[in-house]
Amino acid sequence: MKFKMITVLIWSILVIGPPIIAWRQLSIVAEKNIFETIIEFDNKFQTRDSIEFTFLVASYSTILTLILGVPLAWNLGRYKWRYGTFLRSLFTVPFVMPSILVAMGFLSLLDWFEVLFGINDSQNLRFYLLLLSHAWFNLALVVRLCEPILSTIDSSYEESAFLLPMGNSKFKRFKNLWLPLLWPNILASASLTFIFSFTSFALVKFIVPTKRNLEIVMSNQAEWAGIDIPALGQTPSEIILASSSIQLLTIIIALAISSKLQSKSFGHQLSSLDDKRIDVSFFSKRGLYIITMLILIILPLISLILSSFLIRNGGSISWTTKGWSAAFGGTHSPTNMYQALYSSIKYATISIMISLPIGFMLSDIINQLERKDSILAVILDIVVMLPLALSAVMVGLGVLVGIIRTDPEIARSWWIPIYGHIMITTPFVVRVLLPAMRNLDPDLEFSAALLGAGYFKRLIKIKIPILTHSIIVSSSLVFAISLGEFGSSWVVLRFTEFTTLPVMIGDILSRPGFDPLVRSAANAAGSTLLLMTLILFICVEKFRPVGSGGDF
Amino acid sequence: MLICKGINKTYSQKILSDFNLNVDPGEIVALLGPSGSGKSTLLKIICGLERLDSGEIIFNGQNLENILPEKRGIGMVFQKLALFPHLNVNGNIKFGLPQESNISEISIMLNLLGLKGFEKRKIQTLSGGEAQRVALARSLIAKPKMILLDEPFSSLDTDIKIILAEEVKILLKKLNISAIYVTHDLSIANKIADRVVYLDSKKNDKLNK
Repeated sequence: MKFKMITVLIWSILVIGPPIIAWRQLSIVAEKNIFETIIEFDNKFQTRDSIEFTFLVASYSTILTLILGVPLAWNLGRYKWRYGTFLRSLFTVPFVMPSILVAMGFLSLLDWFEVLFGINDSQNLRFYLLLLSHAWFNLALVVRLCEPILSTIDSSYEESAFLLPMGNSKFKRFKNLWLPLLWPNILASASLTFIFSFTSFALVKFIVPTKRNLEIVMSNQAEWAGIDIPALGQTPSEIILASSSIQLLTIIIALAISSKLQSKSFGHQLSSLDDKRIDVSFFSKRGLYIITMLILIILPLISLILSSFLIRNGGSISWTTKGWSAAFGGTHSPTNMYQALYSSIKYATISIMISLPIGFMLSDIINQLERKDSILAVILDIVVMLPLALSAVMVGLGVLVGIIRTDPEIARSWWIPIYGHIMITTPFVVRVLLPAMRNLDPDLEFSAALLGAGYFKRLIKIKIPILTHSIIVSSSLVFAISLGEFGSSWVVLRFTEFTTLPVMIGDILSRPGFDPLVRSAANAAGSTLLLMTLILFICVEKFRPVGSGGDF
Repeated sequence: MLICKGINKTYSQKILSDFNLNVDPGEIVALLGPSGSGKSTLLKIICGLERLDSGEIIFNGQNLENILPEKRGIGMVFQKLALFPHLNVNGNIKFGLPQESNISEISIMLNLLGLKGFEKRKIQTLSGGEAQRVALARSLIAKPKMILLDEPFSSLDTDIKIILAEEVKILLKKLNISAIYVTHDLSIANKIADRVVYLDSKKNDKLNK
């Protein structure tokens, strides 16, 4: 019991401590409270248009994601495809991809458009590409939330609709049967897509570098945030205080809507085990659609790898490995790829070593409280998920202002980036392990207890071996997310010896593009990160427990 | 040996109301009652997996209130058996073996329950009756002073149920272990028990055989 209390206490301090210290410090430096900064927010030159742009991009991206995602979920759920499981896995690849990789994948597509079709780079084209990249990222979300209800729904519902006036045509069945059944799931995925597009950082930073959403505004002001010298720190602190408050409020509202809608889902009430899905061939209209969507998913990734071997010099292109040499040699970045790879793997490994035990204990505590129908289970679940309501940049700012500004020497500590990684990855551990624990027969643990096994023996001999697959899945997820973590590290990292692979890519991409090797080197580093993420994704898919794989 | 005095337990409604029960050393008591009458809840309270609202449980002269389940010396065979799926038959039985005991006790127990040759078998490959025997062996090897059986034969055919009930009775008598056997089947209760106690969900009346 003491152990569990300590775990909850550590997590609560980790989650709540730095943001509160940060907000207080920002408020002191800005000499204003949160409400005053929000009211004056639009008068600041740096923030003009940023709110409008943030909401606009998030709304358009959400609409585009639904336009592409709902038909995809429909076709995957209502029809039986050859290699169906593999197909579904492929469509969930984007969810584990680091955002900086997606940005690079779409940027490299821009090059190919120009090389192959003569389409010139323009602000408009980049804006549409940004929306498409957000849709690419969030397609998996729509599929994950809508496809299960479509694939497991009792076939008698549709059969009876066939025979009734309100369901005797395809359109009527869609309008009167499917839409009313699906809308909570569709809107829940829309709310989550809105959140992810609202807090998009790497995609906006690199695809539309002339535009600023709230994340970019905060990141741009990070350098002087919370510094108690009025001339330097006042305006940045004011801007960050207002931006973070507006963002947090929006995210909390969207999360609450999503959670409420998911609880209204009809999925669990309508499912049936009979599988009457119709077999469809890839050589059909539907097949063509699925293949087109597959190409959309794979294209940015293949384009990224190919572009790492491509150098564009004016109008000419050449195939070369110079980009890879530049990345490994570190000629276009403050550090070389060996060093960045080492830092990334080191931080990802440490993240597993910390996030996994904390996440395991938190899941165990929530699970036991749930069994007792305790309201504390809900409260603890919200506290655990809190970091997901903060964006990566906000987590980074929390560390920067809440920890580093208290003693600048801390910035030199090798462990400082780990905080952000743990905050961001632990909720994912809980989201994987908690459903697996809920599926575990409580009698197994009771039975072990009655055979004389204490808490740790039960943990080591019963729970961990039975949950091995889920533990491997969550470890792989932690490793993948930590490897690709960009927002928090970009804000926090001040010294090159700690530079991770995504930050190295960000450094290269931030250089002026006159040198033709710049993009090539970034693409080479990105391809390395992509291959590592794909290996981890295969690991996740291989070990995902059947029917109890958790929320991811 | 076991004295339950004035046990009360309420969830959303009253499950056990001022319930009393005594079990003598070596005695087998069958607890009979309809679904929802609190039979399984009572077993969980006795072995410490559930807390009682009020009342007392005295076991071998000791009040069990603040004693952890693993320290009570009471074994239990669950309705769904709760055999550990990641361990084989040997591993499951070995889990119950006290640290100070000799490993050879496992083969004695396997012989006793007719499970010789099953050591390496995976739990998933066992028949219903075999799985029951493994669950019983695992509980008995821990040398409990009392064993609680929560409808362990409910999923079996009637013929096998009766055979197993008779075997269990002989075994418990041989090892002089007292037991509470929960069931809603009167014929099995009569077969296995020295005494039958009827548990009514409304009044918690007792009807002794």
